[in-house]
Amino acid sequence: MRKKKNETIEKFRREEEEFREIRRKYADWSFIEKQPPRIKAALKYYIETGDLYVASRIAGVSVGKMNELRRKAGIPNVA
Amino acid sequence: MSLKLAISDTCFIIDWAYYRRRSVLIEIFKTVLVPEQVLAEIEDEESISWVSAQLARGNMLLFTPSPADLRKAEKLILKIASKPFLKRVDLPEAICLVIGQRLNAIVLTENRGALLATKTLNDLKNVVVWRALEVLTEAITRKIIRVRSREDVERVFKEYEDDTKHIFPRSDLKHAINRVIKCLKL
Repeated sequence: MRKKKNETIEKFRREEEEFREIRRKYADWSFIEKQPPRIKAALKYYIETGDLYVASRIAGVSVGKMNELRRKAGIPNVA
Repeated sequence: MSLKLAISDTCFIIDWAYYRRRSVLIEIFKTVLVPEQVLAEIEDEESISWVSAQLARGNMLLFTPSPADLRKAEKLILKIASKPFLKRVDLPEAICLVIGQRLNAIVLTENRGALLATKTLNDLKNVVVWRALEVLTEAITRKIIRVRSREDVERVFKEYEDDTKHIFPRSDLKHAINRVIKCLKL
């Protein structure tokens, strides 16, 4: 049981790295760099973590609005 | 036959609303609960207009968590935050997990923190979490989305990725495609 749990956590950790690389690769960095500071910081936070909720709070917008910004910035939701 | 209940997190519904076959969700579940805290985060026109239409038709139901639900959700957030091997969850997904457990509803979320918590915390072991990947798998195996070949199956998942700017983890996608093909004997 414990072994299975450890394997799940290890798989999750590896996937986090892999998904971060995918977000970085697809992101439209020139779009991101042109955004106002809070939006730019939020998009970069999203690329690093995949956490849309906290990103939306950094940007000062709703989660729905943040998702629109994610799409415009070409960042995939990997899940 | 429709499954009875699901409860949707924001991150699931705001992607799903952009999918060309989004109505299949309503065919899979009799009712999809939308907590107030989730509805408050939906702002883009595509998502809010679709969700509002489903609320009007009774396919979705606005759900107000009780004070006890909110207290449990707060405890869950802190519990997950206290475990370094877990990934944080926030109030909307914590509410979905708590209510999903209480009402035996399938939790619809793309939140990886919620997914990992249900796989590793004993308190949440009976909570069922579906991502879009599992919803699409269910829709195909129940023939709500009709397919005739492996290419058709692959196309269904690809359409979702294209419409929503979503990427399914390749190993999970391969597993889902093989499961569908085996189940439908394609």
